[in-house]
Amino acid sequence: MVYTAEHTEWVGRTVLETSDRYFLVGVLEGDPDTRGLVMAALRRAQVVAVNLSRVDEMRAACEHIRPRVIVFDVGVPDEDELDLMRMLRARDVAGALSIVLLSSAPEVTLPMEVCELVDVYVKKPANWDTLARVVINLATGRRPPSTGVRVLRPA
Amino acid sequence: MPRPPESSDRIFLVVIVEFDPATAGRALEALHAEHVTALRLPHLSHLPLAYERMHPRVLVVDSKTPGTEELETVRTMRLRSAGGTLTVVLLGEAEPASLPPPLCELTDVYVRKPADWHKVARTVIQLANNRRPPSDVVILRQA
Repeated sequence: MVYTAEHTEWVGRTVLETSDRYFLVGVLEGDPDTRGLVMAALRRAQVVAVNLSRVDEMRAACEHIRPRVIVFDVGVPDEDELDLMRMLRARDVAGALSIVLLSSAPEVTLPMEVCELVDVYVKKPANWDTLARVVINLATGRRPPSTGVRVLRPA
Repeated sequence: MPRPPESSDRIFLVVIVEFDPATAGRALEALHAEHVTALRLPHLSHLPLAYERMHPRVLVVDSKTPGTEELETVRTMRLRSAGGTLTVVLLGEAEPASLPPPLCELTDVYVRKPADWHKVARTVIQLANNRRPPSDVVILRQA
């Protein structure tokens, strides 16, 4: 594979190559303003993302696309959202999918099943660039940043 | 970017192989204006890895003179997507009649350059949803 200098860059202390961005992210976020902020941060990080506002849309979308990471900004997940996470986990036989929960709910209030389904919890208010780093690191098999996030489900 | 209503027909991924950053920028801008998710690859050699990881629905290859390299790449992608769906759009400066016949058999639509990227974006949406593309693009491979 041919890479040139223009295809590599430093992000924090990590060198990323163009191919490190070859993954798709799904963002489930009901609030249009927050969705815009999340999408802008991902775009700045050159991450390709599909954004959807409802659980049924995400469920349908996952019939057509294969996100490597899905960001749920849903507070404490309700039964529909948990059901979607269960479906995604059941379908992901290769163990390639990562789920990020973006939530203002304190970690201790999250049901135990959420901790089993979600890889990384990012507490709101979040640093959007940290969220982008979390997504890139999960997709590329690197450790998530050590501050501002909590790994719920060790790799 | 919020999607327009009735936009479930825009939920698919397009991969564009385009070396020139300025042209790639125009292509991505046109696709984003149509609420289509797209990724640019700077070189054909990146395609196998990107395909394996992202499973695009549509592949757009922009090449001045499509030839052997494009043929081998498209053939490989077709083999990998066997049983799946992959729509291939080829852009080039050559007359459609001068394209290598094997390439025509593997390519769905040919758009002659200079390309109107907004038209390419609309063509991509039509093809991804199994609808007929605009009448002035060259259909190489009948559904």
